[in-house]
Amino acid sequence: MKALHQVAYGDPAEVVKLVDLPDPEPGPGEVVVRMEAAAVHLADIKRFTGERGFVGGNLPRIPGYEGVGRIVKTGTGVNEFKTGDRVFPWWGAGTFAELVRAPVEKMLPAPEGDAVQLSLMLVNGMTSVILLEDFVPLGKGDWLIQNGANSNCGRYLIKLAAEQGVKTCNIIRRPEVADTLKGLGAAAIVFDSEDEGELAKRVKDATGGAELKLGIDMIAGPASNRLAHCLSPGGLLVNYGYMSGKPIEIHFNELFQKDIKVVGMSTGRGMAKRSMDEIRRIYDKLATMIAHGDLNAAIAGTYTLDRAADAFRQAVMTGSDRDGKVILLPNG
Amino acid sequence: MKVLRQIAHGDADTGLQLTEEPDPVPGPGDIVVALEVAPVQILEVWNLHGPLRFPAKSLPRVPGSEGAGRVTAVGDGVTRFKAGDRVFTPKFTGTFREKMTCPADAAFHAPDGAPADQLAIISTMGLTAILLLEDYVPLPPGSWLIHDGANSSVGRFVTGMARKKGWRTVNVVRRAGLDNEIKALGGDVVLVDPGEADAFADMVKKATGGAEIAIALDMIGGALAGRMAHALKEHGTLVLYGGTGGEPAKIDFIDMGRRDLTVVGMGMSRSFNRRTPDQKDAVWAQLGAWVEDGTLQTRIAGKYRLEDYKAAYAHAAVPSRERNGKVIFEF
Repeated sequence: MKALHQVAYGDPAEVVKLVDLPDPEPGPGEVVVRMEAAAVHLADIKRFTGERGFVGGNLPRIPGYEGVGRIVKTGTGVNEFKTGDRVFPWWGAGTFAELVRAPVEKMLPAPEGDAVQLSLMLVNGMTSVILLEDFVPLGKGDWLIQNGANSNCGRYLIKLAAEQGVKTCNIIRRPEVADTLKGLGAAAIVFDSEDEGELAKRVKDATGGAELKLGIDMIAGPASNRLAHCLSPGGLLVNYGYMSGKPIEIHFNELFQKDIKVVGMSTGRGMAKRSMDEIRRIYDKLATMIAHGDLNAAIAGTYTLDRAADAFRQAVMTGSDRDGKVILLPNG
Repeated sequence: MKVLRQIAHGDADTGLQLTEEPDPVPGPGDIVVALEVAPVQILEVWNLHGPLRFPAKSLPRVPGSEGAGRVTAVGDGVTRFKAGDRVFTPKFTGTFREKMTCPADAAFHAPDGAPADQLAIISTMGLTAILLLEDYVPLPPGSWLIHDGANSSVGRFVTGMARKKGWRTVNVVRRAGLDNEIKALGGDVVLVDPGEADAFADMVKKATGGAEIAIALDMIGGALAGRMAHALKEHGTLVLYGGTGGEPAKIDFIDMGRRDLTVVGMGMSRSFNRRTPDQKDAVWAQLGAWVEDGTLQTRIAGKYRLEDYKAAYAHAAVPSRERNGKVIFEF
């Protein structure tokens, strides 16, 4: 089978090779999945380049956190699944390959529907659920505010919040995405401003001065402080990404004047707090929503494995250069 | 009595005026305080020099943000104090005068036995330090905390108080040569900030024998705040309380997310006002006891009489590193 191999840390174009490997055979309690689609996340790129916090494990390795495919072989003792079933292998299965050998213990059933869309459920879907559920209790009519609203997590969040009657105020940098986000159910759209006072004014106008107790920051750098500036007294700023490539920046004044707190977020930790039953319930719901088109990711491009270098090049682009997610199609 | 008034923004020649005024008479619920001491903090200099930085808003005014003195008279209905009691005056009420009135409820008991100069900055910097430790450092005895600006007034108070509470401190400073002084205050480890996060964390680890540190107190902000965060254990808290460097705290995404850190800001008034009247008095009683027993030591760079206000303001404007202590009026 064809697979990608990360052989070292560095430029993805150089350290990720297309290799021929023997087809995997399932051991007891394992299956082999023929991958239909596998999402490329920024975390994949960071693991290639060896960014701080993303180094570890042995090389060479088959990269790929997630994807969707169909079972082609089952090992002994596998009763939950049979050949032909569509499944999501569990996190970190190494999905950038034609075939993936994976245990069934945590394997999730996948519905019929667009494989490209489904290939994004595991990581972004769970991240958005955790952001919405774990930090500030929000009821019908309550608001949250987020930056990076056109990111995939941002879009999922808009939809998941709207489904619960929670209103989202969404900070964007490109006016042309406003209509799309409104279509997803965004209650308010605000164009970013470098000036925090101006941004807060725009937010106030757009939300009618609504109370904002939860701010969701995926950009970091000065954007963190600007978002904190828009929060109501006692609000919580939750950071979950650093699109800007900068550390989270926060002024002492911003925190103490309004009693704002800042916390980080880790999807892994959020999952560790939940039982496997609960996690399965969340993923069932996400999978159903995606299959029905209720959660819909923008797709920047799809690539076969032999064009992986192009895929990774596009995956690190920002703004209008990469309007959506990059997906690998391991079997074409 | 003598009163210093700010009549304009400018320097001490053009902006300040010493006047002779009648002694104040207490209204109902008020006390009259004969001031013993009042510090000339850098804020006073900025208030005078405005409008660039923190100009005083309405003029004329009596400058002076804090102080301590003795009650000389009480108004009707005052039971909290009697003549002769020593008090800290309420903040931002104009202490650069020989006598002042204030509501009895807004003043707090000051310790009888302490030298007056050691009371000068207790009601701001002493209060900040004790609130930091009471509200944000719920640590069992023997635990470590780390704080920067350890050679500042608040930093030195934190070091002394932490020792009293049985906590161990990593004291982060920006220049070498302060070890003995800070250890004499009760500090366990004195570290000169190396300016780089991993090196910083390594130094902390070595110096503490790999102790887990749950709380970092940062008065400076910028990248140093991020280095402090980097040295914290999982679920640790970084408390920002000064931002004196002018830069926002810059905290690594990995530190925040993977290690589940929390960043909060401490506001002195908010923390204090969360307390009941009894709790407030208890805070002041503890501060007073710690001034008396020498736990809280204030370095005095210069003592001036009110008449010598021009020299006092000039001295207060000297950068803190060269000044190495507080400029105070003693009455």
